[in-house]
Amino acid sequence: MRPSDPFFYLFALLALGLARACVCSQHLLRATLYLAGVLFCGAAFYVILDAEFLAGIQLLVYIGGISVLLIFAIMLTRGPDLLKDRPSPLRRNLALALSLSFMGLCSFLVLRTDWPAALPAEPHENPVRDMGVRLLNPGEGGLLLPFEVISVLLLCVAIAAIYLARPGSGEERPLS
Amino acid sequence: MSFFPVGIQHWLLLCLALFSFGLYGLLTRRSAMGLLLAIEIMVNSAAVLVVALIHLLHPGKLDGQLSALFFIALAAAEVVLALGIYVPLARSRPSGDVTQLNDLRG
Repeated sequence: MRPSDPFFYLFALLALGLARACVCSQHLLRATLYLAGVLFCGAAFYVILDAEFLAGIQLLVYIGGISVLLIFAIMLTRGPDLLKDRPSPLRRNLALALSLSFMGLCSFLVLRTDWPAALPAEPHENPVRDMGVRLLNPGEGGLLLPFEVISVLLLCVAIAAIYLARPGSGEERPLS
Repeated sequence: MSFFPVGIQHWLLLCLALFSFGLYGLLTRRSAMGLLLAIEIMVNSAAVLVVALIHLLHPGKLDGQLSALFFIALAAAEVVLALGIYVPLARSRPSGDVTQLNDLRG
């Protein structure tokens, strides 16, 4: 047993409980806060997996950026029906059956498969520097092209979001 | 499968359970924002799974962390674009109910 193992179970239980609360909560604002908790548990998982830099990124981008953005969007567009999101029993039972069967089938496969034993962790001397070198390396094993593609994608998304949300883009069209 | 030490199967089962919760939310929610929250749970569980598998099967390699970086960037782009569509839409249709969005003219 490694010292990180109890923390795995602690954060796993926390993440599962928060994820359940997030998808079942009728109040969207509360669901967003539960989502922030799930993302925090994700950052804890990254720390358990020796990926501290990724945990920092997760805290900054997901919890500091995306969760706050979602909360702002919910507060700005608060509609009468939007606050209470209650699925019909038929929809809920169908979704439960589908997600449980997905979980059951995949768990069956995971438990039946003969996985290789986990290798002992090797401490990495300077992972952030190596990741930066990999991201900007055009040669073998380098990820320059995906890095550039995702940069262009983020630029396109920023332009598209400004275009969609600019004043007058939604109201002038006739409502059908 | 024993509880200790935590191995590949434990991580796989945890991420599967998180993904299934996201799937359940994706199928039950009617509001666009609720769908987005469920998708975020699913993307996050997939990213944790990639990092865990590379960490346990190929220790010392950074491919899992680099993939997760791209996951996070893609998820951020997706949320920004989804909110860019959702916020003007919510002005004309305050309910935010995706089952009512059945035409392409806005």
